[in-house]
Amino acid sequence: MSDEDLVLQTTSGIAGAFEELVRRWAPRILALCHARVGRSDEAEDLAQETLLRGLRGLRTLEKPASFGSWLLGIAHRTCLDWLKARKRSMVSLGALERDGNPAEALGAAARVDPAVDPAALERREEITGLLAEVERLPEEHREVLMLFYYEEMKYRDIAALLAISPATVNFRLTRARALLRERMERSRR
Amino acid sequence: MDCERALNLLSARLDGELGGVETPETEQAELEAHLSGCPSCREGFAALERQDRELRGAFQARREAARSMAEGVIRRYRSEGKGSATLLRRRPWLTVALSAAAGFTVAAILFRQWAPPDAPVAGSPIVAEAPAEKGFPVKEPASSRRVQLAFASDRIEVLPPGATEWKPLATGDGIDAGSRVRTGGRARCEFRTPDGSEVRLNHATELLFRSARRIELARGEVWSSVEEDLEPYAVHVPHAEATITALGTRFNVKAGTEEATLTVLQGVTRVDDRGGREVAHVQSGEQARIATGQVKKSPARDLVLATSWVHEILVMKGHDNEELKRRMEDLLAQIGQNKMSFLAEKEIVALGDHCVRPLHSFIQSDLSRKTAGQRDDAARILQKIAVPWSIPLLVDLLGDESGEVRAHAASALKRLTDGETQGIEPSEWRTRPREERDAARGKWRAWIQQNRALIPEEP
Repeated sequence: MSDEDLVLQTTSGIAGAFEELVRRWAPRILALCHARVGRSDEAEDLAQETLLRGLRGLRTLEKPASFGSWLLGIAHRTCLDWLKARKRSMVSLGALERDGNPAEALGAAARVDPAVDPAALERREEITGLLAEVERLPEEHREVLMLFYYEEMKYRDIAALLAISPATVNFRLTRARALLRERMERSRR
Repeated sequence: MDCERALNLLSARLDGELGGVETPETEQAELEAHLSGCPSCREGFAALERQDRELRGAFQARREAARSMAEGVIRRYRSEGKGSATLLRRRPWLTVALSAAAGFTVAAILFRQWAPPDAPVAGSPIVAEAPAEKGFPVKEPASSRRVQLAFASDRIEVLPPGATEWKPLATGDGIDAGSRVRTGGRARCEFRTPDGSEVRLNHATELLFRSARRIELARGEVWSSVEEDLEPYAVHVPHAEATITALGTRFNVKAGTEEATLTVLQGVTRVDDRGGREVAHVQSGEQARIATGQVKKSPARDLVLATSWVHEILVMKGHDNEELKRRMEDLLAQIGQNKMSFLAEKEIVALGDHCVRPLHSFIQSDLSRKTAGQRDDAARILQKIAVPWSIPLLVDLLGDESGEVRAHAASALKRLTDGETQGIEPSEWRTRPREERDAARGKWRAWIQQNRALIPEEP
């Protein structure tokens, strides 16, 4: 069912429609917020806020067929507000450290369960390290990479969402992977 | 072709997207030629594959986070009194009548009678949301630090620490650390711990909550869906002389008289013997028999069927249940795969009208376009379990590109409407030309308009 149908069904109160809309868009919006702010925990709050704002304002949407780009606009504004607010309050030192220091993030993961075996711990550290590197990629590269891995979107769907061509999606994803590989190899050395 | 272009194409090939970036066939041939002469690109492709596996693994938890975030949004929006919350109110008598009309299993009807009434579910302290505040964050509040009974299909009893008499426990009630709980021969239930983990008890189960995350299984069967926390989550099974510890995992433990069977549905669990020594890791897709602290592993087939007892609890949670939907999709994927696959179909049919919407979504999702056989299976099962509220969904499916799907939808419509066909018999929906089908679909839409008052709302 198209987004347009789901939007129309939602505004006319048909059961199950808004839920499907939310489930369909949650991974994309979360991926975009994550790419925008570079932090997964904040991204979840921002994505949730985006979806709720979208639902609450659905009746003001003039063209239901353009639901996706409309919601994207809300996500960008929500993230921008957050980024500005963060800049204004000049972030406490603690938050800066958490942002910038992967060792700290690894420490947090390790504290989860000291009893866990070393192999599992190492695996968790690898995952945390890999995600931290993804978050440090240039924004346009991590955006495409996150959309791809959060949801396994097709190139053409990512392209339509970001208003770029599938070839550009291919190019950015390839570049993102190459950068990531370089950096991971450097950090393993 | 230079290496940079080759790498772009290799990346697209890895993603199954060579067609998506409009690569001319001549260029594909050039790529092959380049690869055979360029060891560095061959190596690059192998590295890409490895990296892709790592990234998929690393994003697993992010995908889970997206799913649970979506469910949080849905709950929050409903709690604002918007969305379809008003249409979701249960009317047990109606559903029972509809179930009977559709002629599906007694089991489904019984489930419904066990369903808790409206208020306790929506208003239970466990699932309740914090009062709507301006702005965010919107996280599930830990409204209580106690373990709470979230759903129960029949009488559940508790023996509080220090007490000598068992007493009944009501949905929404909390229990203290050190409490024993038990289900009778007919009851199943789910407890929610303060960290958001879910602990489900099958029939005839007794266990001790030493703490919210330390459980001792005296008898019966327990299913755990574990949230991460500082304190490890562990199930101790005295009869099997073993302790099973999880981190971010779903698993099922069934205690026998002298052994236990562990089935892991997601993530990894660690099994320790009585002395606390680690004896094995059991991971997703594996089953292990544990006796006197020894572990014998085997691959588990039919994970969903092996744990299908939890379906009764999922059904109690209502129609929009993501977990039930996913389990149904797993069952659907098993149909036609092996000799026992009829059991998977039976399980879907037994879930009755709870599977109507998921089957419909499955048929319509992009995902299912790749597996035509599964779409047809889904339509065939939908035809069996469709109920009057699903009439508009079935009319939707008359426009499907698959003749099988159309024929099954038409057949269900005929059954539900006492023989109405709008001029095209079900089997003819496979072959009739598009214009005729479109005309009949138009008639069906008009029929719905005229009979709107008779078609019940989706529960």
